[in-house]
Amino acid sequence: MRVALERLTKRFGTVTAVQELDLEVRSGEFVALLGPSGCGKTTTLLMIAGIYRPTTGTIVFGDRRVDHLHPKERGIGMVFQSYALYPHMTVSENIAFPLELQRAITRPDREARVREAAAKVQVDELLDRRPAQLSGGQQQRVALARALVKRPDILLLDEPLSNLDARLRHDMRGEIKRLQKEVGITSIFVTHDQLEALSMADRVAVMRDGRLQAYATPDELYAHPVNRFVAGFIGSPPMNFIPADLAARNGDLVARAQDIELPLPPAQRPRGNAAGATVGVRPEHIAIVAPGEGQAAGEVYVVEPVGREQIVDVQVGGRVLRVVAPPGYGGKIGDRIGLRFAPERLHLFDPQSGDRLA
Amino acid sequence: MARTQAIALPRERRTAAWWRTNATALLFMGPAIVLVLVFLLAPVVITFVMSLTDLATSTGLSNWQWIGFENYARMFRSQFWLVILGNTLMYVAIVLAFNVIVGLGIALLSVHMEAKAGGVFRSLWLLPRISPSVVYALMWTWAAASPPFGMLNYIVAPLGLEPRFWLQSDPWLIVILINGFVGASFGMLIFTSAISAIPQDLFRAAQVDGASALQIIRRITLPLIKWPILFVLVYQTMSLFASYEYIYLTTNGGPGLYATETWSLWAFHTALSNYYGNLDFAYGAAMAAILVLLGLGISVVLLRVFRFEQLVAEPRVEVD
Repeated sequence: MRVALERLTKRFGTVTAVQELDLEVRSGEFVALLGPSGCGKTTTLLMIAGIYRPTTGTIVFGDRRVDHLHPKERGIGMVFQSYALYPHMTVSENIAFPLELQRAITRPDREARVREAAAKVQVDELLDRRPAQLSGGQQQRVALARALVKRPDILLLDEPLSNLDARLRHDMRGEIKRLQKEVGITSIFVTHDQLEALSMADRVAVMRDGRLQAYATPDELYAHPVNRFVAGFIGSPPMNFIPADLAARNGDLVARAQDIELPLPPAQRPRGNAAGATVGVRPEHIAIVAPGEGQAAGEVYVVEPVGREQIVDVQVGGRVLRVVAPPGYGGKIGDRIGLRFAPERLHLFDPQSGDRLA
Repeated sequence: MARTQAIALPRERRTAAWWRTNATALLFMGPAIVLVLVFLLAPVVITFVMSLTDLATSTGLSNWQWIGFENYARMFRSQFWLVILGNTLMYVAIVLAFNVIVGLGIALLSVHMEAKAGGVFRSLWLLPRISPSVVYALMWTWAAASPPFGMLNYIVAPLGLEPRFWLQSDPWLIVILINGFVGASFGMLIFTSAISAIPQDLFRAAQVDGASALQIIRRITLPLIKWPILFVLVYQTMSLFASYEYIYLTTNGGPGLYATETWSLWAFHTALSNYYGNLDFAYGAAMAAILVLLGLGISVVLLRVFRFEQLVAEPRVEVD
């Protein structure tokens, strides 16, 4: 079912948590609301769930306006960050709870659906346990089963993975994504972790200070970030930013910072006559070359091997640039090196507004 | 290993070892242990021992004698003991129900209100508890005064009720209300904090699952505050069995003979304030001892009914 948010605003007293948010989620789509804490993403989710009332604006499910409806009338299932399993009920009672509240469902039907939902998330062995007797990962699965058992039109997940340890988080990431595609349910999830958003969602809405910054596919967000905030928030390790002057040389445009001179290919040239720009370049788009080669010279500041790659901090003039080097790179602290920037991978942002220039 | 060795040691070595390991703990607990012994355990023991004598104003402190269980026999020969027991059970049951139900009601209402309004509302209900009992009781005696006075008469007049002298005509009603309003604030405080301690997400989850406000209270809130409810029930039962000050200050067990006399008031009257000038300390002590047994018995029953052992959480098992 399609979800549309139109000019959605939520104020708590004088604080505006969400401001004029427009967002459309297509039927069957998996969308992430991504942003740092306090950006309004959870508030948005709770408004979609019907737990918060929007101050102004509308929420539409399919072609039905729902912003005045109670949560129970919206046909949603929800997984909470804390899982919110009822501690006094067993796993099967937890999963059955949404069905018990619907008079129309008979007992045998209910039991069959509980078993089916439990089997789908592999907790059918745990039906008689209480939540306190389950591990974090198991509680997560039970919460998913409870959210899905009443066959909702829309699934909402609030930071579904943040309470799991790193390994389990990785497993559940894949499982939730697969489950979402299997069930084909329109889903919206909230996360502060860009890796989670990129790896799970069909489209990602990046939010900051209650406003939507960008709404695009993970590829698009990574390749063409619309502003400096999105560029810095998406990608790990984060993008390098270099304040630079723009100058013409031999008919070409170059971005010049203290010890760096970057020729800009035609596609990267900003519209208009900007005199300066913040140049953004991802660590994976800078290569370490022999001293004297490339567009900049520097000195290795520190090397952090992280398995399949190494993250090298390089001191260039007064600043440190982060570079991703292949696992075989054997640089030591203090080595003098050159840096080669991939020209077509440069991003130019307005130094004041942070908007993308090209 | 360590255990078998300890058992093999000679007795005096074992005692010394025990002291070495536990001396610090005992030292720290010492003050508390002394307080418990002197102020909590000793009075019960003294009361029971005293109940086996005939200590009274007439005997003085020098001429008393051991009379065994004669005080108890005398109590149950009294033609009033059944009336007073009935009064007591009725009083405790009704006031307890009032306390818990009204306390729970106020707690539920006030936590669902806007936070500030809820606080004000709860403070109002605390007034009976924070005002001195004599002032509070006097207020009620005036409110229930004989016509044409008494605020109660003005309040019920629009309902078509005849003005009356409430303390005479409906003494139990006044006794129950006066105790009920004081007691309700206790439950209210405990339940409010218990309800506030339930994670918000559980209520949100229940809303999303499709529960109405009443279903949330019945299926989520009440089961999760079972332990505080049990605590308030047991605690209030005990304190109601022992409490008599508001009855003493309003009806003083009357009107007439033992109409609103409860067991604790009977004990008080007998031991410390009777009409005949002969304060029957030992006889009153016997009544108090019965009260202790009664309270204990009922608490055990309540703990059974609520299956106390099951309230204790089972250990968490990590399987992954």
